[in-house]
Amino acid sequence: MSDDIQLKTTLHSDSTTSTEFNSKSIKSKIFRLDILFILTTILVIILMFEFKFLNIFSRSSLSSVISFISSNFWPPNTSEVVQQNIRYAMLETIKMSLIGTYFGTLMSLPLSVLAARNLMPNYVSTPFRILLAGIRTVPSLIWALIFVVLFGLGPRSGTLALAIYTMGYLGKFQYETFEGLSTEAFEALKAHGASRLQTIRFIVFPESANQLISQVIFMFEYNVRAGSIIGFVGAGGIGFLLSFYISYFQFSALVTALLYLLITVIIIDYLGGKIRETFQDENFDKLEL
Amino acid sequence: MATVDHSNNYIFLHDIHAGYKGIKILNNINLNIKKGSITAIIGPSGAGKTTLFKIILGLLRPSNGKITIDGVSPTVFNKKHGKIGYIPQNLGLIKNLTVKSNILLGALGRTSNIASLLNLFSIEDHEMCEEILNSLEIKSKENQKITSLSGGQKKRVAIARAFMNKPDLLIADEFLSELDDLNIKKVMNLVKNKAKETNMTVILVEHDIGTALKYTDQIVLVKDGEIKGVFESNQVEPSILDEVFYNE
Repeated sequence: MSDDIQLKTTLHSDSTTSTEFNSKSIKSKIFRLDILFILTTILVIILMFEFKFLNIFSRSSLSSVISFISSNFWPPNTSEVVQQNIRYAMLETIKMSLIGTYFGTLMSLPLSVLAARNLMPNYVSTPFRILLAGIRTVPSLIWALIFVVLFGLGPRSGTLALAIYTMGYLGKFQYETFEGLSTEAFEALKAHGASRLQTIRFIVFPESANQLISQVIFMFEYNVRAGSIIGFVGAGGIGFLLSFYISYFQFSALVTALLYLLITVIIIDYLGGKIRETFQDENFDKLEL
Repeated sequence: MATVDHSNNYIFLHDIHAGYKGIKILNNINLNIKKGSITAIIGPSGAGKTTLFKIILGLLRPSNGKITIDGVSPTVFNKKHGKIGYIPQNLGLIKNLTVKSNILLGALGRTSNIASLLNLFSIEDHEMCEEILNSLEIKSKENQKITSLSGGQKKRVAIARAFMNKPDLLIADEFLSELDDLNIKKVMNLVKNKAKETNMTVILVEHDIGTALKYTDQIVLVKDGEIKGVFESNQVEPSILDEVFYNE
């Protein structure tokens, strides 16, 4: 009996020590974070002085900004011609994104299988990982510029840029998904005499299907947004129109185009989310956090 | 302590050593398993049971020693005969495929790459799958996805997939865990009947000594990477196993 009491006391004192230890270490971490935040703030203020940020908030600057916006941007130009041009360009961006996502996905799938460390030996996966990383290093805008130089102005170059960029990004998403698959199914099928190709066909693709579909939808949403940027270098779509309106100071038409873009992105985000929900894990909603 | 007769060896392991990243997992393993027998490998967690399994399956190579199944190495046995049925600890079923598709995967070893890429299995394989679905009482679930099944039903699908390979050797890693007594009885009767019917050799990893004694012919006790004893199930007293299991 006395032994029991002694044991409980020891356990109790141990847990107290560990709680004290934890609270001390948390406090010291918070203290270090405080210092880091203060030092970063000082550095940012110094850099802002260097860029003369405070001038923005001077009375003359602010009033000129307000008068410029109120006289040039509002009300938006809603004439039928402007709206027709915007609708055409917006549709072109969506078409570019669709084709770019489609071909990007088709190209990324074999590459991601070759880049996955659990499916291929290191001497095969490493070069393909480097290739995909190289493609991702170049922003979509630069890809668009390269294709405009090679194939001329227009949506064709923009679509190619989106396809290549999609391949680099989706490839990474996909090989990371493949590498996260449980090894047991592989072992079971391998023991049953399945070849590598058969394990890819019957384990890799079905087991990652939901995530792959979700990633493709995400990439399509991303490409619609990216498609509006790459137009600035002449690669077609709504971006081309935005750059035109800016160059010719047609700011009221620019606002209309931006409103169209905003509504389109919201609709695509909503629809994408709805489609993704249908491919989510059945047990996802049952999870208790 | 009764010892097992070592004649008529089907699986033969001699002086097997294995390790991973410099850590020794198995040490001097010597074991003989007879054709058509049901063997349970029991031992505490981390004893090296799964490593021993993977060596028999040909998924891992021992650092030293010799292993043969039916006179050839596990890799040759698997490639030549393709008749191993394996049920991993977490079953290794494909969640997004239906019950029937999962079972048909057991026939991949005898299906060409092109045919399997197009999901074309032979008529014989489809018929055999129907037969197995009926015998394991999961015919009504054939078009359902794995995620909608209960624990016991999932185990039956994993057994069906293994049976689909027409196995000479069935290896199951702790597949009776999480099942109640009634389901253990159902599942083990299926395995025992199949073993008797086809002279199939069965090796199970089992935690529970009582279950192992009830359903197997011999028990191999593994602890700290070594075999501490091989016993015939119908002749050994549970207290002797307990003694070796806990006090060695």
